Amino acid sequence: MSDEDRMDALLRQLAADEYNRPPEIIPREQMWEAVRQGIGNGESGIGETAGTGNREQGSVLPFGRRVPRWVYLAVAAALLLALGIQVGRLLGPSPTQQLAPRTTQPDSLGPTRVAPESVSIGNPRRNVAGIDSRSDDGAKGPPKQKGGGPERQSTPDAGNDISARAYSVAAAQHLTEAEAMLTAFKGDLSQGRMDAEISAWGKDLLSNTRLLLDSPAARDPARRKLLQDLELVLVQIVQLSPKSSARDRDLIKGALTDDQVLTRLRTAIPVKGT
Amino acid sequence: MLYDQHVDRVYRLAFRLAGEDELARDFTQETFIRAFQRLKDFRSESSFGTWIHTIATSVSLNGLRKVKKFRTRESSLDEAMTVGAVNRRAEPDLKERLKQAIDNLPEGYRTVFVMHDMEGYTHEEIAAALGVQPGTSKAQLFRARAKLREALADFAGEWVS
Repeated sequence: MSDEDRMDALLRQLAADEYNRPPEIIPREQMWEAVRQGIGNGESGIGETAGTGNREQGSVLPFGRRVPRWVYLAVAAALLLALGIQVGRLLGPSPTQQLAPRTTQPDSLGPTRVAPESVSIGNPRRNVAGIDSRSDDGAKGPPKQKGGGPERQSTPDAGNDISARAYSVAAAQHLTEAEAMLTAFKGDLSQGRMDAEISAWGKDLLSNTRLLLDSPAARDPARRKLLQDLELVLVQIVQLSPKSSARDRDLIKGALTDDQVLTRLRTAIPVKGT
Repeated sequence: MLYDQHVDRVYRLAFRLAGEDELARDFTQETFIRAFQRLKDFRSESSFGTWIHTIATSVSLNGLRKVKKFRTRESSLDEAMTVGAVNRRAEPDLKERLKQAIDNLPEGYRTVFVMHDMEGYTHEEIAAALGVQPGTSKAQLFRARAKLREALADFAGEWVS
């Protein structure tokens, strides 16, 4: 052993013994209380699930077998999406403003798409407008160009802005989850196996993708194209079964690589701060 | 379960980096809060330890930077108020010199030295936590040791004899 090595060993020993030496007893309980409070008293289910052993009785483990993790993810995504749509309905632009751009879009959403008018975000608002027009005129007829109620007219820009943000948040959340799912799926694919959970996860994502396609979130042409490509890939994944041939898997792989869906998803997802 | 499995190691690392119980607690708590809030982003069960240590090092180093900035501002104020006072500190002993030497290491060197030589992390674990290559971790440890040897060279005669 050289002098340098000997000195390094001594330094290491001395540093381990003397430099910022942690206490023998670690304040686990106090820290856990703070963590619990920090994550909202376990309201999301996470706090209850990740705690110390004596709290685990009767709880559901996050990586346990009782409830698969994707269920939490799917429920969270669906709730967020529903919230985004609801906020958009409440604060969105007037029905006339909202419907105008839709008429310019070609109805080329494909056979798998739900008819846009039936799930249009603007529909409830339009009904409100219709009721308003009847109550004013006392007769049925096409709604007047009122542009919403007076309270909405006072701050249309703010409403539009909030609505656009809500949809953007919902879309970003959805794309993040889609990216996670496709990454997991790609991993499974490369190992030649097909997880049933992935398929169920894909179904949830598919319905959310279609909802988003029919919402103002899809007004951005790039996002719309991405959602359409994502929908196509998800449909293929959902239809894939353990008995599917290698060719089917290759087709999905091809769709993922050729359209660069994953890369585009990653690019579209906003960067989060640490 | 997850908390119990990882809290000791996370706290020990935070304490080694921060040197104070209060800061170490804050960093540990923040690490777990962030981890639980982002569980949805985590996919692979096997690497949860790596993932949480990535968060822990990021939280601790960012937190320390803020604390350091704040304390530097405070101490420069103190110095301004005690102009002319003579610093009559005694010659620091070996322990204090070692502490100073480690504290004065560049952040990357110090982090790797603390993780590897004091807390026993492997270079692969360190690399994953810091987002660098294992080779970078090895190089930083090598340089950290060299800097410490240099800083404590006047004690070398006593040690190696």
